[in-house]
Amino acid sequence: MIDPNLGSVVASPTPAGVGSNEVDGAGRPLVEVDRLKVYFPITEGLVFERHIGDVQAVDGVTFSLRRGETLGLVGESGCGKSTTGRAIIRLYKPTEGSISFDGVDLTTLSGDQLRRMRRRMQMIFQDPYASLNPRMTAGGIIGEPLEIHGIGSGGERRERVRELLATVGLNPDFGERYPHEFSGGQRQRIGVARALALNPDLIVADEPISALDVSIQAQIINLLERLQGQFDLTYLFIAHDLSVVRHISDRIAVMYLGRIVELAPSRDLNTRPLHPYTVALLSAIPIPDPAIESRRRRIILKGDVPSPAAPPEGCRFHTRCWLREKLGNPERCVTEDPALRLIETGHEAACHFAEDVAGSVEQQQVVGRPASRPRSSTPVASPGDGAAAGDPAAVQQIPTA
Amino acid sequence: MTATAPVPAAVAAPARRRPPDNRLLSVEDLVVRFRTHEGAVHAVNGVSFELERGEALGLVGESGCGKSVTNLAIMRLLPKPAGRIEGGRVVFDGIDLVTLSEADMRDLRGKEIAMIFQDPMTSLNPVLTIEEQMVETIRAHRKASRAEARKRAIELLVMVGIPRPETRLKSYPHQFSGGMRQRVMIAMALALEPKLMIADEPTTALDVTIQAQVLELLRDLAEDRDTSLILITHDLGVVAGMTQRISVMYAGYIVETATTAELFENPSHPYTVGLLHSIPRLDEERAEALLPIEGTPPDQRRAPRGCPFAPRCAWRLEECWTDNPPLAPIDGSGRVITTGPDATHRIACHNPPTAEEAIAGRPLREGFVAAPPPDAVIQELVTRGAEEEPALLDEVVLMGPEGPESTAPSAGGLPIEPDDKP
Amino acid sequence: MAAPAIPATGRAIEVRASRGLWRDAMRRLLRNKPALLGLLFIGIFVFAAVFAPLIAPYGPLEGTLVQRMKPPGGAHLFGTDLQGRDELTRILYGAQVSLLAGVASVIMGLSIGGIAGALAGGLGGWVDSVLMRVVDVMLSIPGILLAIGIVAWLDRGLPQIMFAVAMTNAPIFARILRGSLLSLRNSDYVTAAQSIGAPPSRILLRHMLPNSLTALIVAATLALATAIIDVAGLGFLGLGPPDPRTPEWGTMLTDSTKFLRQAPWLIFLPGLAIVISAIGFNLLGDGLRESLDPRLKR
Repeated sequence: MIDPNLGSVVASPTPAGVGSNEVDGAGRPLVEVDRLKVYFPITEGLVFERHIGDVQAVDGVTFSLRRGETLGLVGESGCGKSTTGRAIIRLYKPTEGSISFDGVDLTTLSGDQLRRMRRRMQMIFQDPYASLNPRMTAGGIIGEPLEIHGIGSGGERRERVRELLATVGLNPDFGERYPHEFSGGQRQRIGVARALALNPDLIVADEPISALDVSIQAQIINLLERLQGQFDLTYLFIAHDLSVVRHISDRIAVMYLGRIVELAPSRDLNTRPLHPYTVALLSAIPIPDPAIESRRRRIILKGDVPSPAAPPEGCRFHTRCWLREKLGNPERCVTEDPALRLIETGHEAACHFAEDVAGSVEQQQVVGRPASRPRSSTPVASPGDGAAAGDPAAVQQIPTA
Repeated sequence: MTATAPVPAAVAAPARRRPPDNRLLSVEDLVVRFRTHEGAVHAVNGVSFELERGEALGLVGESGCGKSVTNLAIMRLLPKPAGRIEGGRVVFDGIDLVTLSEADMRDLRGKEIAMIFQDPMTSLNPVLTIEEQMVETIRAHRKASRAEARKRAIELLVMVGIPRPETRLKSYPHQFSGGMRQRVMIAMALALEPKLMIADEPTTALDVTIQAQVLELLRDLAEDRDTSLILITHDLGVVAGMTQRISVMYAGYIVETATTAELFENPSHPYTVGLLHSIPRLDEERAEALLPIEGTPPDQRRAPRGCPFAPRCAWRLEECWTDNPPLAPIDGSGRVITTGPDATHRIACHNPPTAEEAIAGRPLREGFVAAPPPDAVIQELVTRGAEEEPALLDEVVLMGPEGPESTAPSAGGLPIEPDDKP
Repeated sequence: MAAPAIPATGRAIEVRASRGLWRDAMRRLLRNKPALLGLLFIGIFVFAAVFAPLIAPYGPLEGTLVQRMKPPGGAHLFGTDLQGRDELTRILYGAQVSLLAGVASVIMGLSIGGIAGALAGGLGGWVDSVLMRVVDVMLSIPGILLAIGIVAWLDRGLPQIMFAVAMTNAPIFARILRGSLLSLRNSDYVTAAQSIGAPPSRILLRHMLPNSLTALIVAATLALATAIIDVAGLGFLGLGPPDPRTPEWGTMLTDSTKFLRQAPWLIFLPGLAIVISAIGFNLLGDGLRESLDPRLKR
């Protein structure tokens, strides 16, 4: 992977290409999501249902997935990250907006056409206990996609199942066993093998490791990374854990209450978060190192995430925003809904005051990295940005242990 | 009964550096088993640790490692009739809890030892208001009028940061969000100013920003008063900022114990080293390849034999398969300090990784190969494994000396091109 | 292409074959003592029903009034009834009626309820709403009352009794199947099947129904117990088989109540037969519930 941050000093932020940024000559992105909205109606009544409102699970999300990349989608429960992933493989019908897959608009497809497109995108689920039919054998589960799409003869399918089992690191002879005869990690491997069966282009991995034990998680992460290289896969990796997402992703989109609030190359997101929510999210993740923990600045957000059935006016984060408080509660956050805008190369944020985050102590100390440690590249300040000009000084201020 | 506050001198072992009355809890060789249809589950296999007043201890491990069971045993809340303390002692403030009568134990719970669970919904009564539950708890153990108890409840809710406590007292548990419920749970745990608080995965069910709120609260509370804390978690990050000492558990054993700083600076058991290498860190410069621990935790329906970690260990020697090493100081000295900032760093390992190896996450010794299971062990697994424990057998069988995937991803015998991220 | 598992020692090890779900469930069932007791009771019951003509010492209608109400012992192990017929013989033949009526009514109820439940849970929408309101109405009428109504309406007769008892069971099956299908509809593996492009019929047949089956098997076993009691209940209320000579446990109970003081064994034995067969099916049903769920075994 090319580090997108290398030598990326940009003269001025280019407003063009917001959402589908990072045109690197690889051609058209594999997936383009444009102003996607998924609302779930809230109804009342037993026989006659009355529509009384909507849960705005996803509310206007725009991003693209390039071939062979991993895009991480992070956020807390209820932010709409899973719904977005499921809408892309059309498990939910979008309320508004479009999703195009390799140039084909999925939102207009149905029936056989949709079934044919589904061969090219697969999903890995969170819970390895719930996502495998307990009454089917591992081989039956892995071979089912082949069977449904009528690929190969019975013997060929069996051979393919053995090959897939081996590919995901399981004994090929295990095909006859039932899910309950496997451990959690092994079951997740079966789920991965099922997703691979049809040689898809895109895999949506919805929290694929969060139900697994710590020592097993890395096995699955490594497996996913190896398979990506081996089969040229594009991943949409959905998780709540930023450290895991950062590890596996090339770019990361952070979601809050149905919106993407920040979208950046994963390294930039970690070193230079530009949305106050991302800063808080990063600072909340514990780091397994007591020395670093003791010198980190932690931003504790107040209260809980508001209900997606009644999101706040203006910026959806304003009710909990530490930056707004620091800036003296500007009215603009309440009245005006900030759009996702390009602030640095390939780095978008939906905050009126994203420039104030750049270079702030909160941003610098979020991961508690000691200043003494050599950095492969210092944060790049965009020259056009006055607030960020004092960056190097801010770096120096980081207290050392 | 519990009013006998001063610890009888006889209980404290002689020749201890710290005054004996500073020790609040000592667990000695605790053994817990569960009787099931499928046979006995060896949940805790001889765990010993001690805790000083005001000290915060982290118990770290994966699900099934015995960390929660250990604490349920301390509280004498093991599920009945399956769970039983089959050996050892738990001495709390001079009283042996294992032999204490049920009535005295009931009196002790909440008042002297309080517990915070992962899911507060299961430990709060859904049909009673918070006020009813808190007032009842306070009045069950203290002589207080209803009004006094209510006043105390409000104080506690303020302390844990619940806005508008007077009105919130009238709410039912389901009317609180997950984070707020956990705060209520903590307030109730604090109600009787317990000497020991046991928090079992208190933030696992919460979102990360809410986790930060709750951990901050626990940290403040732990600093303010001299309540001792046992924090049980699978997350090494959580204990790093919260505790003074850490014990790492695996398959019902403590495999490593040290002060928090020492443990992270100098992790010495292969399992701890493995854990640290299998989680991506937020503060890394560039995502480094993860080195997973291969295989799966052992099936504890089998009586332990050898080192429980041996089948997954990259450093294992032949003896590891048959001989379970005791917890011993890493420097080989005989003197052991069990509590406080000078606690001895101890591990249970025949062949501990060196400091360089701990950083690398794998053995660096020239030509070193993890020992294959001796024939006797394989034979035993084959004869029993066929009926009882397919998973363990598969792991052992499938794993070559170097482990199936980390170095040579020969998955199930099929050679696969190694492919590391650049 | 796929190499056998080679252990670290270089010796191939036979990989254990999967046990299969049914064998696994059977193994667990046979370890369950209450369920075994239930199986024993059911075994006695079925044996009696099947082999009544061979093991019964007399014919079911054979007897003279001279022999009436003989206490247990002698030529009649369990005594004789009001018409002087051998009580043991009639109990054995009565098992035939109970077993036939019970099994037939449960199969009928299962078919009617199963189809309704599958339609409601599978299609959802207004079909679900309408069917479930019908079920609600049927369940709001006490089962025995519903059965009495149906028998009164369709006239007396064994087929009518079976149908009446079936109709008291059907709404229960419908509700169980629908509930199970609804919860499965949101399960991850059904979502997974959708995501690989499985058509709805396949999802229903391959993924949802097999997983609902255990709930139905358990419910059917438990329903057998209530069906036997219901059939006996109808007989007790005088709505048994039209031929009053038919050996039916419920009818036998009614006949003997009038002579409770003179011949208590006449009420004790049919009662015991009903209780043992009902308990047998209840114990087995509970045992099946525990042993059939592969998720319980971890």
